Amino acid sequence: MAIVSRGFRGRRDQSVPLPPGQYVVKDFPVLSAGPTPRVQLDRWTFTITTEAGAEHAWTWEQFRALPTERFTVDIHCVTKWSKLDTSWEGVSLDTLLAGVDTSASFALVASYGGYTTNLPLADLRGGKAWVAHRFEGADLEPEHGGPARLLVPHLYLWKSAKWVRGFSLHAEDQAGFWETLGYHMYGDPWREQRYWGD
Amino acid sequence: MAGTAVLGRLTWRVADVVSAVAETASARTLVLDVPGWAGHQPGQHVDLRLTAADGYSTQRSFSIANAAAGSRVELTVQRVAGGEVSTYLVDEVRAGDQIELRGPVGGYFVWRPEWTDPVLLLAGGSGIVPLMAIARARAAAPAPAPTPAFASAQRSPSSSKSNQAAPKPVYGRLGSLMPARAACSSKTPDPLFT
Repeated sequence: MAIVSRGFRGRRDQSVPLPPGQYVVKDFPVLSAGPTPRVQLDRWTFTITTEAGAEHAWTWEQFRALPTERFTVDIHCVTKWSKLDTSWEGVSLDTLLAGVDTSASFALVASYGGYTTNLPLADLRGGKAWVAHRFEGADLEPEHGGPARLLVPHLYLWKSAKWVRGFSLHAEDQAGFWETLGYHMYGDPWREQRYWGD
Repeated sequence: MAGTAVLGRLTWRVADVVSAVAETASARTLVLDVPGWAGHQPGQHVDLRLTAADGYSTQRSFSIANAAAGSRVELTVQRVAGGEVSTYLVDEVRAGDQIELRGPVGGYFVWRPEWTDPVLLLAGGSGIVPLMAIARARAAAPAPAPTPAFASAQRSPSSSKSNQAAPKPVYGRLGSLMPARAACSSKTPDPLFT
C-alpha cells in the first residue's frame, strides 16, 4: 500500500482521467537517445517487408499521394508526461497494409538513425495507428520525428517511432531498442506497462 | 546482456530520507536509505511516487547522483517553478520522511567501470545529475581513464523567452567536486552544445 507523503497535497489540476502515474504537460518535451536525423525527402522511403521477404515501398511522393486522415489524440510518454488533444495528419496503417499479404503477428519498426521498436501487428490495424507527417497544422518538425513518424497513441510513445522508415513482419515478437534495455514489450499506459515485469 | 538494467519486476520500495543537502538556491540533494536496494549503474534513474493524505498520487523520474554505495541513493533535484513534485522535494521534504521509489531504471545512458576510454560529459542544467554519478564512479574506479571534461550551464528562468538576462550556472558546488576541470558557463551556451 502506498505510504502518505507528509505535507504533500498535489496540484490536482487534471479533471480528465489519465493513465496511472502520468501528469499533463502543455509543452511538447523532446527526449531522444541520439542526434536528430535529417532525412531528405527525395531520399525518403517507407518500406513494409513481409515475413516472406516481399517489400512494399513508397517514396515520399507516393506516400503523400495516399489518402490522409486528421485525428486528435492524447499521447503518453513512459517518462510520465501526457499531452492531451494533440492534432495530427497522417496515413492510416490500414491504408499502408491494405495490399500486404501476411500472416505474421508482430512488427519490428525501424527508423532513420537506427532506432527500433516492436509491437503486435494487430495494434497497427483497426484505425489505431498512422504514419503522421503533420502536427498541429504544420509539417512535423525533425525534433518530433519529421518528416514522418509512427503514431500509435494507445501505447506509450516510445512505440511511436520518430523518423520512421518502415517495419518488418515476423511470426515472433522481437525486442526493439528500449525493449532490449528494460522497457516493456507491449507498453500499455493504462496498465502501466513501463518496464519488464510490469 | 550489455546494457541490461532491469531484470525482474521493479517493485515499489520505501526510502528513508537521511538528510537533505542544499546544492544551490534552487537545487538540493536528498540522501536516501533504501532497504533492499541492489545497487545501480551510474547514469540510471528512479521513479518516485508521492501520495497525498486522500490517496491522490503522482510520479516523476529523477536521476541518481551518487555512485552505487550499498542501500544509499542520492537524488539531486532542481526546483521547477510551479512544479508539483520538485517544489515538494526541494522545499518540504526533511530528514525522517519516507518516500516511495522504484528502480534503478535505464540501461542505455550508463557508464561502466571496466570501460577505459576517455569520457566527455556535457550537460545543461539539471542534466548534470547523472553525469555526477558517472564522475563519482570514475573517481572511485581503481584506474580512472584520462580526465573527462565537464560543463553545465542553464539560462535563468526569466531569460528563457526574452533571451536578455545572462544564464547562471546552477551546480557550482557539485561541479567543484569534480576530479576534472569543471566549466560552468556564465555566457549564453555555445550553440554547438545546446
